[in-house]
Amino acid sequence: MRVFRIFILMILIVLGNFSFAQNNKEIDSLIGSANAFLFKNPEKTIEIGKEILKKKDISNAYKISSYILISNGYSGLSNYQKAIEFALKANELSEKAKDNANQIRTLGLIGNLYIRIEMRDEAWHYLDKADKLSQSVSLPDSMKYLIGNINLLKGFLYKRSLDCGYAIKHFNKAIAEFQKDKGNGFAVANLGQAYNQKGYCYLKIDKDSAQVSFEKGLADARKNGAKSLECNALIGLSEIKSSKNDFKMSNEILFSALPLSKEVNQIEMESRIYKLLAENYIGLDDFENHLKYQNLFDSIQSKFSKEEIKTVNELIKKRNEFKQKTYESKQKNSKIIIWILLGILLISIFILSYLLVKKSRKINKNIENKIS
Amino acid sequence: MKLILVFFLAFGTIIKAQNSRDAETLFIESKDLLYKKPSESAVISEFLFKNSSDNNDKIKALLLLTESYLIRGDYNSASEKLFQCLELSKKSNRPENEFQINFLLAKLCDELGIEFSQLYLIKNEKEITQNYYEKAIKSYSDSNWNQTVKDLKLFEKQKNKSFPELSNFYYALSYSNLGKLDSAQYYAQKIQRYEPYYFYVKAMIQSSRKESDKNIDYLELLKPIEKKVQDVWLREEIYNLAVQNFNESKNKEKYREYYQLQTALQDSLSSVKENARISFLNKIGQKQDEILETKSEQQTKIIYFIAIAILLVFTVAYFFNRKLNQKQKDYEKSKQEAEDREKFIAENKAQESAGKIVIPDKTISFLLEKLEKFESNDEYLDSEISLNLLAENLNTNTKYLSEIINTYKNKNFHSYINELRVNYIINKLKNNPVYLKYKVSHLAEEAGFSSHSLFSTVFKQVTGHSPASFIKTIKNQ
Repeated sequence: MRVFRIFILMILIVLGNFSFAQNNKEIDSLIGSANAFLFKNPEKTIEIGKEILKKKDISNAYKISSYILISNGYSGLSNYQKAIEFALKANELSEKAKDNANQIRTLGLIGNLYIRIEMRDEAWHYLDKADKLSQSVSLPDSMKYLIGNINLLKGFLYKRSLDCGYAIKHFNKAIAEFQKDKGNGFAVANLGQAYNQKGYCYLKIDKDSAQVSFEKGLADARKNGAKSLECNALIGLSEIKSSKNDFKMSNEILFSALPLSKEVNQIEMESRIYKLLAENYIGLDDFENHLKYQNLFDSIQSKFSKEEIKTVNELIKKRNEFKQKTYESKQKNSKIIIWILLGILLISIFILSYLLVKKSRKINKNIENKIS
Repeated sequence: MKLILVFFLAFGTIIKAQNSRDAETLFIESKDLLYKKPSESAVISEFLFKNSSDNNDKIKALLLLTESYLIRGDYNSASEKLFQCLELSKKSNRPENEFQINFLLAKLCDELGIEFSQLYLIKNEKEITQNYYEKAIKSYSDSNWNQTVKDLKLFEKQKNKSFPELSNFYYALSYSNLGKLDSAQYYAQKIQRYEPYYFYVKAMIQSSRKESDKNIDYLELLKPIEKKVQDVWLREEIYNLAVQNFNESKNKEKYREYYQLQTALQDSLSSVKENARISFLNKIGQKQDEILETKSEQQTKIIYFIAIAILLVFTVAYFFNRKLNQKQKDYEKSKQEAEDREKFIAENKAQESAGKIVIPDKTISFLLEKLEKFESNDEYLDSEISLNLLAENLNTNTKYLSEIINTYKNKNFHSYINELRVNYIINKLKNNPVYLKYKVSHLAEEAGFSSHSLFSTVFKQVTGHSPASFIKTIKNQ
């Protein structure tokens, strides 16, 4: 079962965001405005990030923040190659500065970027690294949500590899970490996500646990006004109801979810709702309604599957570009090295042979003079 | 029967003797079964793959396997086998294999919703262009039946050796959808061998007749094959047909049954595809990395090569320089020697022209003192005495000695010694009468002369008399 892939990625883009109590008001306000531009105008975000980097005497924390900003900006522009490049820079610097919180943050950011272009091996590599680090260091409670993010991403990857057992473990851990600082906006946003993901994992194994999870997710989403999370949880709950043959209840839930899905413009959720409605109505022997929703599903589905194919191919294209560009930039470096080495080779041949020939001529001349 | 044969093949090792004719018949068998019973075809292909040593045979077996998996909707295994094929085909470049690989790759991509052109990093652009058969299938799935027929005809014109078996199936389906039932019938007859497809086409033709009485019938046609269909696409089509039909005929019971079958199949297929897509993308990613890796490895090699060349240049230069230095040293050495020699000669010349050696005063007085001692001790009587010996005894060199004798005694070394000896004899003759009785030869010997005649000559030079007359004179006094 496919569960709202695109959706989770949209939520997690915020992963790299942050607010830090640092002591330079000017830069703080710049970072704030750059963050605000992230969704409207990522180019501006990149611009501001680069501007901050140009300033002299700024702390490492600010530099890391700027790198993350730039990375987020590029990721907003779907330039993942650049995004990863800057995320790696941020990670490098945070490692050098022994800034554990930022190290975990940046590793998560890199992992997330790799997930977005379906480079799972790389994603695993960075997330595992982050996981190990988060287990060996202690972060203040206000930073615990970073560990939650890592676990959410890992759980998400496990779930997509169809290993829900491991996924649930990570979701549980993520939930535990998110709950440590309920005042944190990022923790709250991702908490509902973790509940929903966990619920979908349980859906096939353990319906009661799934229900508990969805209900928690729903409560959380309602409290924070996260519409798409709410819709997501509702769909999960309706699936549990219809699996218990309570089609009426299931339909009621679906009808409350339908406007939400339209509101957040999530075509994937909308089509899922139509399909579930159609299935429920056939269970209720209501053929008229069944056909109505089945037709709605069919029409939206063909649109959706076309869109999905487009998305997938877009993603492959991005990944190809990423690989090509990474390769080319590497290539560029080694090409430069090759030219430099060739230059050294030619110059050294030229200079050495010139010097040696000169020397040899001088000696020969001396000898000749002597003989004569 | 066939099943027994298949198991026999799979588990028996009797035919390991690799009879090529056997392999050939098995290939044909496997190919024939592919559309009738794909899973049985796969067993034979698996056997052929395991037991053939020839690369080309392996590829052919893998291709059949891939196609069987594709038909049965096991996209993960299909992509696995296909990548194995790609790996093997790198070594043997057979166009017919390449064609088939590309065809299956395109089909797999199509099933997984991946644009074939996105594989440009692992395939050359030329290979990526779709052939007309693929286009025909694609336009069929887009319900563009006229285009399907056109593409199939274009494909036939291309005169490919291996004409896909199912092209007649697509002809029949397209014509039936277009309402040209006779043409459809004609092509349907050609695929009688492939039961599931044949019956499906028959049903489709029947449904196109649009005569309501016969509507029920055509589903009856599908009854014998329905449970046996392994081709997931065909199965889906059959369910669609049934759902559509029972909906029209308001048969709720049947409709629900097929609707649920259809939904279950669609769900499972979409989850299988989702997973297959991820692993397919992963594999392509790895493949891309491999290709790019080898490319950058080449660059690294070039870098190493140039670095070694630089090192070599410097080494050669170093040794050449050392050789030159040696030459220079040799030259300087010989030059030094020549200069030394010249200097020596010049010094000697200077000595000759000056005629005198400068001897320190101390040395002069010291030597004169020594000479006095030499005279008073009568050491000059030693017949062995020479300039060299005396110089040695006086701890000086011959030059100094002869110079001092020349300067202070006004004679050369020989006359100096001889005069001393003669004076000694005269002294003895005057003071000791015994000597007057001696023979001249005895006197010569006592004075240290080597011969009697030399003594006589020197004696006469010093006194003006011969020794005999000198003795006579003294006797007379």
